[in-house]
Parts: sequence; C-alpha cells; structure tokens
Amino acid sequence: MITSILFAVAGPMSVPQDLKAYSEKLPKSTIEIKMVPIPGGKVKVGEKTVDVAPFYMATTETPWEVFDQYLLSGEPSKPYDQTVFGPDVIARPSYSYILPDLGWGHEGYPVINVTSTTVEMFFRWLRTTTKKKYRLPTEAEWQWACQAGVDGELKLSSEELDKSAWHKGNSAGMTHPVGEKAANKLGLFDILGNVGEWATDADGKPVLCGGDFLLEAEKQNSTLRRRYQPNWQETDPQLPKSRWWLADAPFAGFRIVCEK
Amino acid sequence: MGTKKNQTSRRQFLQTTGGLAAASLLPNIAKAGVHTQGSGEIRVALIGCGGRGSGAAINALSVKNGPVKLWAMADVFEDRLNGSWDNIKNQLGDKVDVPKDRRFLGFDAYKKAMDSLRPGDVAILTTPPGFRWLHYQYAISKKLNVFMEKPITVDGPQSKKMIELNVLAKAAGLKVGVGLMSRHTIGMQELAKRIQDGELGEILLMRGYRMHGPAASSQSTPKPDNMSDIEYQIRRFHSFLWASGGCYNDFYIHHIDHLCWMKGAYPVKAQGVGGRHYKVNREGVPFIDQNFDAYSVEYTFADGSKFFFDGRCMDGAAGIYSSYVHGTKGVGIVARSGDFGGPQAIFKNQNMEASSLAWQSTDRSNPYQNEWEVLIDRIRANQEHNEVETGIRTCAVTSMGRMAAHTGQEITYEQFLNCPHEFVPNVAELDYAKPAPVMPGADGKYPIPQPGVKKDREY
Repeated sequence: MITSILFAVAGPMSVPQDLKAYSEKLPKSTIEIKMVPIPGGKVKVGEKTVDVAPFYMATTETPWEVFDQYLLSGEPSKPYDQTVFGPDVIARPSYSYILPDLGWGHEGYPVINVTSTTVEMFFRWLRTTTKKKYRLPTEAEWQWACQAGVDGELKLSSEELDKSAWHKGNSAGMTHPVGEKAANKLGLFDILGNVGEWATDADGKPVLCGGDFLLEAEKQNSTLRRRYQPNWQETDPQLPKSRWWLADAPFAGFRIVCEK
Repeated sequence: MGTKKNQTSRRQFLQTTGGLAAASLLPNIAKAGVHTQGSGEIRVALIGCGGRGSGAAINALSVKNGPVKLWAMADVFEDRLNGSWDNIKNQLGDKVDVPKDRRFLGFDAYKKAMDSLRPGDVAILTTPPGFRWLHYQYAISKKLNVFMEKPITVDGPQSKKMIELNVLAKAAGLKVGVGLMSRHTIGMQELAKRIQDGELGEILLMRGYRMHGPAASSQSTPKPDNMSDIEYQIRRFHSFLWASGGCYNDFYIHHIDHLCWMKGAYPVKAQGVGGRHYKVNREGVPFIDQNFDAYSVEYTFADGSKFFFDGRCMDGAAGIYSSYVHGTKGVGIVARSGDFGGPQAIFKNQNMEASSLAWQSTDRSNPYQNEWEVLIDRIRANQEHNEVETGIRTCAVTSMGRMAAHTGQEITYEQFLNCPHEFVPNVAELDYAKPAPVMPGADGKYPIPQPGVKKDREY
C-alpha cells in the first residue's frame, strides 16, 4: 500500500488528541475494519456552511468480506417482500438473481449495487453487533473528509488524480480492490473514484457522494452528488424492483463512519 | 437512422395494406390481427401476477409502438392479484384499465381474463411454467397473440404438447414472444452474427456458469400449517419440478439458450452430475424442495463438440455467473455477468486480455423491453413472429441436461422427449381443494431425484 501526502492544506486540520485510529474486529471472524479519526471543522455544502464534529471514518470503501458477515448473520428476506420495517428491525437482503459483485472480484473489492435500504440495515446490524454508533456519513462529513482541509471543492490535477483515484481513464470499466491507490492526507483511500459512496443529506435522505470508476477524470470532485434513478434498476425484470439490490448501479457503494 | 426508420415505416405500411386485403379472403384466420394493425389500442391480459408477470406488464405498457392498455388480470392468489394491480397502477396508471370485474381469481381465471380480450390482443402468460401449455391452448382458441415467460415446458410430454399447439398458432398467424431475453440483447445479436461469419473459427467448446445463492423459491423449508399443499407448491414453484422444472430449468435456461444460439445448433445428448449436501437453512431447518444444490452437465453436439454447464445454488459459496464460446480462432465472452450482461467481446486467441481484444459490444439497451418492442411491432405490421419453436427446443435441451443429472444416465434428446413421466398430468383439473401434483412423505420431504436408483424418471 502506498501512503503519501498529496493534498495541499489550505488551513489547519489537526486530529484531536483524544481520537486515535483503531481496528474494529468483527465477531466470529478475522475481518477488521480500519478506522481513522477525522477532526471537526466547517464545510460548505451547497450554499450552506455546516459544522462537522470529530468522527471516525473507515480508511476504505466497504469491501465484500465485511458486508458478507452481515449477509450471513441470519435468514435473508423473502423475495420482493415489501414489509414496512420498524426502526429496530434488522433485515437482510433477499437472494439476488444476479451476482451483485458482477463477477469482478469479491474479497478486497468494494461492495456495489446496493440500495440505501440495504446499507441502512447493514449499519443496524453493525451497531447491534459492536455496540458502537456506526452509520453512514452525512454528506457534510463525507465532503469534509474528502476535502481533507482544502477550502472549497476538491479538484486534483490529472497526475494527482491518477495516483489516488480509479476513474474512466484508468479503470478499464471495472471496480478495483480497495486501497490500491494513494490515500489522502487523512488516510482515506478511494475517497474519489472507484465507487460513489452513500451518505445522508441534511434532511436525512440518501445521496450518493463523489465520483466513481465510470466517470471521467474531470468529473471527480468532492461536491458531486447523485440521487437514486429508476435506470439504476432498469434491467431488474421484476415488479416491484428489488429494495435491496440495484441491477444497474455498479458505482454505488459505501464507507463506514463511527460517531465519537 | 432517419432513412432506416422511413424504410421501416414504409414496409409496415405496405404490409398492413396486404394484411387488410387478406382479411376479406380469410375472415376466420386473418381476423385475429386486424384491429391491432396500424395504431389501434392493443389490450393485454396478465395471467400470473407474480414479480416477473408484473414486470412484463410494465414492459408491454411501455412500448414505443403503443397504445397498449392493461385490460384484465388473473391469478390464483388474491394477494398477488391485488399487489400486482397496485404496483402497475402506481407506475403506469393511465395505461391500466382493470376494474374489479376484470380482475379474476381462481384456477379458471385465465379463461375469464382471455375472454375479455378481442382476437389479436395479447395474453401475457407468466404463471409457473407447469401451466403454460394449458393457457397457451386457450389463447390459441381465442385467437390471441401471446407473450409467455420462460420456461415454457418442464418435461418431455409437455414439450410434445407445445410442439402440437404451436402448429395451430402458426396456422392462425398468431404472434408469440417467449421470454428468452438473451436473444433480444443487441450485443449478443452482434456477437452471434460475427460468430456465424467465422470470426471465432470453428466452435469447439462452450462454458456456462450460474453460481449464486439459492435465489427466489429454489430452496424451501416445510410447508406452513395454514397453507394447502397446492398453494405452497405454486408459491414456491422453483422448488417443485412439476411447477417450474426446478432451479436447473428455470434459472439455467438462459445460458443454455444463448450458447446454443451462438453455436447455431442444439446438443443431441447430455450427461451430468449433481447432488444435495447440507440441506438445512441457517437456523438448521431442513429444506424439502426437489432441487440439487449443484449441477454439472456436459452437453454434446452432433459434431462431437462440447458445452459444459455448471450451476450451483449454495449460500456463501463464491459466485460466478458468465458464459464463453471457444473457437479455433479465439474466444468470445457472451454474458460477462448475469444472463446478458455486456460488453460482449471477441478475443484473437484464448486469452481474454485487453491486448487480445478484437471486438467489443457497446449497446446497453434493456432486453426485457426490447423483446416487447419486437412483439408489438410484428403484431402491428402483421409480420410473422413465433419464438415458441426455439423456446420448446431450448426447454427440452435444458431439461435433458437436468434429467441426465437427476438419473445419472446419459440422456439423448429423443429419450428426453419420449420419456413418459409427465410431471403434472392433471394440470387442467388442479384447484384449491384438489391434491397437489406431488405430496410429501412421512418425513415432510418431497420425492427427490436419486441418480443411479431411479434411472428412467427424475423422481
């Protein structure tokens, strides 16, 4: 793994003394999630300046081996079940008709083709299993961590981007194992490129942040946002479409955050 | 594109004129399609309101060459009927005209739904495939065009029935689409043409893999006490060979179909292996379905070349879901992921690496929608469209491989077709209170294939 400092620092961004990097070891497995501290600060999201409290973020996009622990933790849902879940229910995806990983790779590769519902359930499971406040980042947290102290939208030169991000020009049309490119100043890999990352907006609604392996280099930036579109499931042949899997969104993944 | 479109429109106009002229000469036959030519409303009835049936209805209503209206619906389960109506109405409400008196419940509901249509309208047959020939027979008698989901047969006797019925459908000029959507994948159409033009040389070997978790209803735990046997078997249709042909037939058919298409031939025989391992769920409850967990079938073509298909429905095992064609000049990727995922590709040698790439497809259209565009266009133009013969052959070949694995015998196409074991001989008499086609033993489990023990039938 290559770790280097690539981002110019526009202002101070120091980690509070009481936050230290740690690894979350999942029960009954050897799998660990590496978490690094992210300092608090202010970030401009759209037209609004948002205060961000210190938090922890996973160094990588979530790989399949972590997600599989959730998938295998109990019975899957029935196909096309549209039960309205209570706030404490932990449900698992129904079995998919397709391979959600598209056969591109499993161990070490980022989770893809997941809906925001699936990710929410993953976090309910993770919180219950670890007794810690794991969740998706807010979009403000995500952007703040992505910019890593840079004031305003983060844009990298093509050379810098090639060192740190998988994008249309270098990905050969597929995702790549997490953590192969250079991390940012905070130790975050693939924060631009590889897969977009689910977050929650100020209204608590899901939003996909950042660029991915299919997007051109010039579109990779910290302010890119996407919302679910029906064509993310166009080739799901069923109705209702799956609430768990996106048949046509190999760019949709996520990263783990933990509250302090 | 403009020129091409104009040519198509002109051809359609000429064909339509011809069709109208023929109508006066053959009133009983040609009337089947008269009112649907040109631009009149085509009405569809949905028979089988499960997830795929509802999806097919959306595809039908979404065609460019409309208007198409959902006119009637039929199912044996009220919850499926109501749920489907809600979902379709929510999505395409202005194209749904199905008041309560055209929502039919029961084992004879298919007749009522089709009775509400006019000759030349479309019946969508998306019940479990065990019912397919029976519903197709009725559609033909009503002179309805048809879209039927795959599989369209589950055993030899049904395949023969379908062959006979399809002669009648063709004589009546009915347009019939079959849900083998690989054939409507534009990238695969291009690949097939290139293979037929010799870009891969002689085809020597094909490989298909569909390995994922136990999707849909392919694994089942014992029947709940509050449900009848027949209800349970229809709801869990992938678990029962009579209802679906099992996971082998229902799931693996797509790879088998498109690889035979690439080869330009169907295999003449098959041998196979399969087995059931720890058939319990994550909580230790036994599975009682009739499927094997894993299958591996070797198909042989008349020229001696081979096609290997490996299928597995096991939780937690590595997934692989793709298909390949190997020729004397190179290798082709047919389905890169899933049943039709692109890009399809041709490589100059046996290495599937970027440096060997000779061609790659670019189309990303939705084949589930494409298959409906073709069907409606052919109906409007009164051009021949009948995918049933191909569908029967694909189903028979798929089931031949399944039978080989289930009996442990080498099975030829003729042996499969002429096997007297009919999985559901009394399909026309099934009803809520009637016994189910297969009943569990004292242990609550259904009869399972026993290769080497039961050699002349699958269970």
